[in-house]
Amino acid sequence: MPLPTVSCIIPVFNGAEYLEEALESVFSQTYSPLEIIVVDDGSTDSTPTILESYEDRIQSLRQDNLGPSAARNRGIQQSSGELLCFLDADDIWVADKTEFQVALLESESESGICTGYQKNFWIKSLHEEELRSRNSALSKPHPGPSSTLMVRRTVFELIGLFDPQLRHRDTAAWLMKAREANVKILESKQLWVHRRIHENNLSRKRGSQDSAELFSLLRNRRSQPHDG
Amino acid sequence: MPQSIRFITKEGEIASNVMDGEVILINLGNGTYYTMGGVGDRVWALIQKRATFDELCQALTTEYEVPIELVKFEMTKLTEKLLSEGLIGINRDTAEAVTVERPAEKLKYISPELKKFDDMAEMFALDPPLPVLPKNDKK
Repeated sequence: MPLPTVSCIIPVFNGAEYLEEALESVFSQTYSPLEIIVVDDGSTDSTPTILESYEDRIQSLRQDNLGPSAARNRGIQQSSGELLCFLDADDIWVADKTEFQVALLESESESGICTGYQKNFWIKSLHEEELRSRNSALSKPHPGPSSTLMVRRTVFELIGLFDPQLRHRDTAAWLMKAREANVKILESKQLWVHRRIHENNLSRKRGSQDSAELFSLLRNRRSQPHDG
Repeated sequence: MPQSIRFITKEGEIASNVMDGEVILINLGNGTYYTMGGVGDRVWALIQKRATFDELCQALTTEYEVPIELVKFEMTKLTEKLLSEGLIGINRDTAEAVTVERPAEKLKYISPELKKFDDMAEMFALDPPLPVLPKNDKK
């Protein structure tokens, strides 16, 4: 039986500084067939030039700046793989991530989603923050919100795409929706992603916008009937 | 609870909002959230103004139909719980005295009960918040 095609979707907004490292980590995967789709979410830096230089190895799309969830959704619609993965343009996959996850999902056909762990690493200029974070949750491997995901296309067909209104909690909210739809989730503790901590991480900029998203999600949750 | 102790909210660690008359507090570090009904929204607003324990109790008895003894008993329990859950801190700085005006008619007092939930912890704490960069860490 042929191996399933995996689509890797990379949303990027002004991510030129780290994009090539992210792409190289996908090229280095020990698994194939792998389809790579980069969605440029309206970058104004040299991201388009970088993408052009890889045009023989990736598909790239461009859209007005609509946020990472809308960019992921665009990539999903463009993709053809049976299995879909996502990588943030500042993160790095470990080489056997795809191979390992495909094997896990192939061995558990009832599972629709596979998640894993990520570990933060700090860029050199943030060495002081790295030292301060040494004993906190930030320095320990933890479940990854988007770059560790592998999803069967059928799950998106069942529960829909990411909520494009959410800019910070889209994958987490989507996972909760999947769980509520009784989609079986394989939760591996394997470390599959190195998450780069730099000055411009989206989660560093969350602030009040993120709080508004959290309360909106909570309102939706509390307005739904609960079991038990 | 000492009368003069002054409370402080923990911005950046605890997100707060009022939904349908209930105060909602989210611990951004571990994803646990709390609700506080009754006069909880008024209590939280007074804590946000950095009221002392005494000012908090005085304000509630000024605005609500409730004996001071009951307010002190309930506020002792509530503030101790808010402190032990890490939802508020003690303010070491001095602050302006918090006073309120007596309303034309006192409002009905409903005890504020703090309830704890962790059914959204997975989503809220999935991506631990990064610290705000101090100036010397920036390029």
